[in-house]
Amino acid sequence: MEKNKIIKSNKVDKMRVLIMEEEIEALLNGDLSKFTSFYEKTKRNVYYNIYAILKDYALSEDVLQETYVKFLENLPKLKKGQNALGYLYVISRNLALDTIRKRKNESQEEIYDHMLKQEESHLSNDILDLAERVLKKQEFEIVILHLVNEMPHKEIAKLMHRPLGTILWAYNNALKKLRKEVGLDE
Amino acid sequence: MNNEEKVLKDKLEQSINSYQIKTTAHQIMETYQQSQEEIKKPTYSYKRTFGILGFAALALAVIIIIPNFIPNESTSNDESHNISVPVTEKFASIISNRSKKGQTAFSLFSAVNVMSEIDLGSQTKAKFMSKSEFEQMTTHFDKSYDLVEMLFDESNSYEVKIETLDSLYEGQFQYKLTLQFDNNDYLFYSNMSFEEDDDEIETNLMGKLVIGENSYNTSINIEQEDDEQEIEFEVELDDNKILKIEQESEQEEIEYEYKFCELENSIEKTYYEKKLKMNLKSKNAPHCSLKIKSTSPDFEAEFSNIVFNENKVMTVEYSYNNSRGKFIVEQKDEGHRYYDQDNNFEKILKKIQ
Repeated sequence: MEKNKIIKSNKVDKMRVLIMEEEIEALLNGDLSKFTSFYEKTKRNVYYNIYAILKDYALSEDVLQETYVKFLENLPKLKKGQNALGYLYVISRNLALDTIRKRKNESQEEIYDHMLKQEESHLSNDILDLAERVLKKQEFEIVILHLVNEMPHKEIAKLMHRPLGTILWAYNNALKKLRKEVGLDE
Repeated sequence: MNNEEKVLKDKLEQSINSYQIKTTAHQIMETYQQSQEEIKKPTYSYKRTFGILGFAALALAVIIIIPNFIPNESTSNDESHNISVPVTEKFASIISNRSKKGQTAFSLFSAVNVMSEIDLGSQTKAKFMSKSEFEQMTTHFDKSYDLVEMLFDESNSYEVKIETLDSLYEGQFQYKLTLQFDNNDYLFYSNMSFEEDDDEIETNLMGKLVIGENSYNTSINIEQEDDEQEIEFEVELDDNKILKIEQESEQEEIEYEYKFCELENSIEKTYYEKKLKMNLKSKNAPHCSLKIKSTSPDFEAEFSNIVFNENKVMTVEYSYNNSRGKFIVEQKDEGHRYYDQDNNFEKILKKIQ
């Protein structure tokens, strides 16, 4: 049963790669005119991947920009046929985690100012707020990646460097909590 | 994806899509082009200076480090250490036991063994006893003694029992694996019957490891291909602490890696790690090696060519704080006796109960 799931998820990935094939080939050949189209097709997935870690709209925008700049700088390293979206996920996750590390060094005042700004821009997003509140950091990240970004559990495990079992465990726990909070539980 | 997941997915998407991403492709391209122009600015003078200094520093480091790795003649000629032990048969039984049940049981046993080394409540406070280096080193080694001994000694066996439960444990687990060792029972609840299935390449399972009154979420991932097997084993000690065990076994070598990690904002920080490697491709007897690295307390040592003789005396070569040598370990009534003949150091460590 698990094997079937893996085969199915691989198909989804291949489809995503095919959709962007033209843009990626152009980018690999140094034709940056296709970047806008590539960005439009991938930005939401990459943005949610960052948001799942930072839980901050404005900061996630900064990291989103940094991610694509880094992606362009490292384009020569991308091989033909390699999953560009996967590559973006790895870059964006590392940059998001770096941002958390750097923020630890900021003064309390800076963090407070930032939180105020964030609150102002953060119009209550009901279930998203709820998920942020009731889920552990890792659970929230997994839920966003799987439910919103439709990333297979196996890929999430690879991205987060954790065994598949742990990811499944955390995902199921998160679903239980959300079901209860949203009122889907019997 | 079931209906409930779809409902949650829709709600989440609805909520998250209400935010419009402001960053444009144009902004990104501008930033990228600026960064490219900065890269083009000449920086050769700095790099060249650094290169020469870097090379000089490296050469100096090599000169300083090399003598530490040249074996001391007086120790390498010591006849008492040239022990050839006929342990292949005993060894082979555990190594060749590639059944999921056996390997999972060993991982469970070693998890329990390694967990007992860490004081989970106070690992951030470095409490390092200021005794001699030999005492420090042997004390650390002794914590792994049972683990190493178990790999060599077939008679020091554990029992594994699998039961199908009448009612689900915690409402979700059907099978109970009981590991009996040294008059202790360790329990593992999961949904796996551990029946061998040759066609199965990858197995993932979640379960609960129960030690005394404590229970831990545990996940296991087993990958099998021809003669190679990889097992990843994770025990969640609490919300932020994880014990990770990675085991790789091939025909001639088997390697276990144990790591205690802490999660800080999803970033994994390893504060204790141990590598246990057994080499079966040896001219004499199979032997194992052990590396211990800890940041709290600060400790790093390597133990190699670990062998047992017929009288259950263990011989170990060590490398610690730039010192190299050998010691033996004997089992006495009062505990483990560690003896370094070259330095005439002796230490008896009582068995931890």
